[in-house]
Amino acid sequence: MLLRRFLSARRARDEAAARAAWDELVTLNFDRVRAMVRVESRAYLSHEEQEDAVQVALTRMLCDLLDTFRGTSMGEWVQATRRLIAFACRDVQRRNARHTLRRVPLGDGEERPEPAAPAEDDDDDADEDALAFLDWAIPRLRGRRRDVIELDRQGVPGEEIQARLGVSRDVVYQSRSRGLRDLAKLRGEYEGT
Amino acid sequence: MSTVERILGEFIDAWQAGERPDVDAYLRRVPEAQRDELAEQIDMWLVVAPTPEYPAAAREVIAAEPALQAALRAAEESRPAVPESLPALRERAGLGVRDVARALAERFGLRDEDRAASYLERLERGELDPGRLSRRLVDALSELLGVPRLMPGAPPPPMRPSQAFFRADEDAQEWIAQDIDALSRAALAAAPEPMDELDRLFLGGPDA
Repeated sequence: MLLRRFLSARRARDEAAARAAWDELVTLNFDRVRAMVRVESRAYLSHEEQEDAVQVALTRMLCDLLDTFRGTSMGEWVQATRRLIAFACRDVQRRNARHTLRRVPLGDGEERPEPAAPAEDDDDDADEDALAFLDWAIPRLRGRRRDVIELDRQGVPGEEIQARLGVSRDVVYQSRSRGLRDLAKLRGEYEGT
Repeated sequence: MSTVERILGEFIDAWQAGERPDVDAYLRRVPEAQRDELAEQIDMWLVVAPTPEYPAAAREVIAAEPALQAALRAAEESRPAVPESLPALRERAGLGVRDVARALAERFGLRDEDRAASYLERLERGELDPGRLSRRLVDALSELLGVPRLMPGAPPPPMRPSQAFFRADEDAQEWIAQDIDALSRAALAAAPEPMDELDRLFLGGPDA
C-alpha cells in the first residue's frame, strides 16, 4: 500500500508526498532491515557494529534508494533493500578494519582481512530477478509447503493457517520450515542458471 | 518436529503478530551447531515476509528507535530543496491562501491579513527569493502544512563568471552613466519605509 502510494506520488511528481510515503515505508520495515543486518553480518560484525550497519543502511535507503529504486513491487523493494544491506555491512566492516589497523602498531596483533567487495551488477536487473525468482520458485514448492508459504506471504496468522488447511500447529511449522529450505535451495539453482 | 522448525515457526508467528521478534534471541534458543541452519531459514523468511500490521504502541516504539531517528535526521539534512512544493502542500492540507495568511497573522500578531496573503501568493508564484524567508516563517509554514521541514524553493543560482565578462564587453560608458543617474535619483528620493514584522518574515532573511 505504502509502496503504491510512493509510486503514484512519484508519477504525479509530488515529491513531498513521495518522500513522506517512502519514509513511512522504511520506518515500517525497520525490523526487516535490522533482522537482515543481524543475519547477514552475524559472523563478522559485533553487536555495536551491527547497529552502525543498520543506521548506514537506513540512511542509504532514505537518501539514495529513494531516487534509484525503479521497481514496482514489494518483492523488488525487499531485494533492493537486501542488496543495500549487504553493502552497508561490508562497508562498516571495512571502515572498522581500517580504524583497527591504524590503532594497532605494525607487526603487532592480528590483521583483519579486508573483505571482498560485493560484485557490482545492474540494480534494475537484480530487482527484476528477485520478483522473477519468487514467481518462478513458489509454484515449484510441493503441496502443503506451497500453501503455507503463500498464506504466510499474505500475512495470514499461524492459527488461521491451521484452521484453513485443517492441520496442527506442528504441521504448519514443519511445512513452513521445509518450504523456506526448498526456496533457499531453489535460489541457489536459480542463480546458477 | 525439529528444534529449528519449532523456533522458526515461533519466530514467524511473532513476526506476523507484529511482536517484533529479535533474531539474536531466537538464534540463541537453538544449539550452536544448528544456528546457521536457522539463520539461513530466517534469511529466506525475510525475503518472503510481508510487512506486519504493527499495533499503534509498536509503531511508536519503532519510530523512536535511535538508528531510525538518526537516519531520518541525516536524510532530512541531505535532501535537496523541493521547489514549488508550497501550493501542492497547501492544497493537500486542505488550506486556501487566506487560511494560511490568517494562521500566520494569528501566530505572529500581524494586523494586515491581506498583505500576508499577497506575500504568500507572490511566494507561490516564485516572485520572492526563498533565501530571504525568515526561519520563523519557514517553521510556522511547515507546522501549518504538516511537513517536517518545508523548503519553499531553491535559492537562485549564482551568476556565472561569463555573465560578468559579457557585460564588460559592452559600451561601458553608456551603462555607467545609467547607473550614476539611477544612484542620483535614489539619493534624492525619500528613504524607504522601515520593514515591519510582515516584511521581515518574508524579506528579512533566515535570522529575521
